Amino acid sequence: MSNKYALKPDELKKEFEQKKPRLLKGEFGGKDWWDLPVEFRDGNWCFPAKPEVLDELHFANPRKWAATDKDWQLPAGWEKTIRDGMKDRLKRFRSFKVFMDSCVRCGACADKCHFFLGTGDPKNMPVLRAELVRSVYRNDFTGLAKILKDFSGSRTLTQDVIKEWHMYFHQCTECRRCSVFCPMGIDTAEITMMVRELLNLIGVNNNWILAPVANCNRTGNHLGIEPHTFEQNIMSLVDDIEDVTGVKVNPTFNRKGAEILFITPSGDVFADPGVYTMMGYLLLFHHIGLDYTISTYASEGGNFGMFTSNEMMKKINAKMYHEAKRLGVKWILGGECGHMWRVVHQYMNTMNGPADFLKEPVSPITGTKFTNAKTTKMVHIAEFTADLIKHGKLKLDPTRNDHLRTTFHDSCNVARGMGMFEEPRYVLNKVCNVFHEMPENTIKEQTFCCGSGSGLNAEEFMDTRMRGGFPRASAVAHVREKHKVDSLVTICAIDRASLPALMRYWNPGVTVYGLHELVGNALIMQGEKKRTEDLRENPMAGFGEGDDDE
Amino acid sequence: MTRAWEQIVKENRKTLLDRWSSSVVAMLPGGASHGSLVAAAIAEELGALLDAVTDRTVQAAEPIMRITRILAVQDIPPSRSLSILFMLRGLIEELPAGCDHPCRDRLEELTLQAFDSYMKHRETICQIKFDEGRRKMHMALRRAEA
Ligand code: SF4
Ligand code: SF4
Repeated sequence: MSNKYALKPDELKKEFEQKKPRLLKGEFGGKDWWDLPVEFRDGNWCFPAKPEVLDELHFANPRKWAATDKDWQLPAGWEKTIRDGMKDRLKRFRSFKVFMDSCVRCGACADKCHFFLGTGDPKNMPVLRAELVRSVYRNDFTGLAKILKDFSGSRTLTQDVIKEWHMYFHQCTECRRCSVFCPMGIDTAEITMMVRELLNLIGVNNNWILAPVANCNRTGNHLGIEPHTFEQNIMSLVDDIEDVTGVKVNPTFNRKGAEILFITPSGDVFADPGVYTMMGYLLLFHHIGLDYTISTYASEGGNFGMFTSNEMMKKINAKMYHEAKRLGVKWILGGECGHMWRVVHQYMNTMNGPADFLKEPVSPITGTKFTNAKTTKMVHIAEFTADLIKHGKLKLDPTRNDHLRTTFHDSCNVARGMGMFEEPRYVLNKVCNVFHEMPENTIKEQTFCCGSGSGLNAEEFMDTRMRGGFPRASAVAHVREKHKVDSLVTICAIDRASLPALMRYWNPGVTVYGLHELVGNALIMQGEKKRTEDLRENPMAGFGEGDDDE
Repeated sequence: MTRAWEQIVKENRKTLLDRWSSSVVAMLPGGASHGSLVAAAIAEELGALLDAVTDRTVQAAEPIMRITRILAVQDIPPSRSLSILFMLRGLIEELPAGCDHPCRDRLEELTLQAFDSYMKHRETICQIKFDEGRRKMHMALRRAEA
């Protein structure tokens, strides 16, 4: 069928030759770009999932192996599994099909990926990353390869292709920065999600993703903390709060009939510096007398299922609504997290909703209706707090954060995934006096990833993480040199876990904080003792030895 | 009279630096692209290092620290990372003055400094991994240590 918009094969060939970036033209010393070998070495691969983890999840091909092995022990018939898996996903996920077909190779995305910018490796250009799978798609699923045999860039599926996929789809943090610049709206993050799903079908995987998934499956949170320990951790933070502020806060657990269910990533309950953010939430809720409860079952906001498969993401997410229903709350309040919000904002309602047993969220303190959360029934803490401040409901002393000179890192999933840019900045500017933005092309919609998102936060992957985080670190270095910034504030649990490492390597002296930790510092609590230390028990300005109060 | 190698290097600074940067960037995987931030950062630091090669009043420690910090986490073996000053030697040898004894001594001295600095960065990476493990287990360790 002729179509005035469809080019004829010879026109298409000309167009392709003219437009495709140099990298697709095979200027690699006579080799094609995919002939450049993939070499796994210490620091560029994550440990694979342990056999028991796969057994627990009923996932394919449990075995002991390493990316450095010559033979990856792929299961018999793995090529068919991948092909069938691809066929199935091309049918089920229209975006995948569209993204496979519609790239015009304009190159606009080429220099937008932090992994490309931080490694210089051409295969980290989003256009080439997608080409790694598109080349197989073209060979197996379209007539294009036959028409444009000599240049269409199609190739057969081999074990080397799988190795290359494993390498480069684990050097994509699904951050979506490239998609902001693509005229065709291609979202490489979704291509990566599909490829990681396919790899999981044949047991090519990452323990740092699948172990938390298995733990979540079993106990509800990433570290596999059991309910009593989860509660004990929080109660021990309650004691810390009393030590620093003199105020005893009183969280409740699994309380039926509470108005609000609060869910946050479990890093806030067990890891440093997340626990200080947790202390901030607890102080805030006490300050406003919120009727809330914390669940020891829905004890994880994060969802590593998102980096595994659509079905796993759905399953892990389901506990949020289950628990809200069981406890009979009106709505859910969510803590500071990145990918948790991508799942909640983009998928939860259609995956596990509609949650018609919940009410449209209304702030019990200000009466504000969160109409944007009408369908999900889940409100982001930054929005909730910004609204409280806007209505003058919080007593704040921003000078209590005068020992910090801050900048703000937009986490990819909240900024690009939800479009939330201003609320955290509004809160930050009300709770501290010194704030400087990083350069414009590195914040808000164009924010640079921490380099460790999408389950790549493994210690053994540190070198690659440092490379991927280089653009973000360079932007922080800029405000550090220009404005003496020493505090990087963020609203994401993965950022709180990964940015301390990134800062220590590239910008020693810069410390990472959660937004609500700074809120907790600034809150003037009823009945508090004289506050001289922040929530980390570091002296506030004017109370340290040799303090320079400027 | 032969002019000092420093003078010749200074006169050819731009060409030398372009060729040196290209060779260093080409060591990165896939023959890294010059359009990347890491390539630009490497070129900038090499410029500062080249000035320190010829002029002892220019601090070499800072550019060496910065460039080895970049190289210490790239996907290339340490021996290649630390060959950058040997690459420079090869380029200087092509200049009229060549790389005589004093020139070679200077480059060797800086190579050893770069080795120290590189090792320091690797040690930092090791400490970061250790700290990250502890941070992740913060509450459990607190209980265990109480
Ligand atoms: S910007 Fe979009 S259309 Fe252009 S090369 Fe990248 S993915 Fe393809
Ligand atoms: S989604 Fe992010 S990490 Fe992945 S290719 Fe695009 S810019 Fe790179």
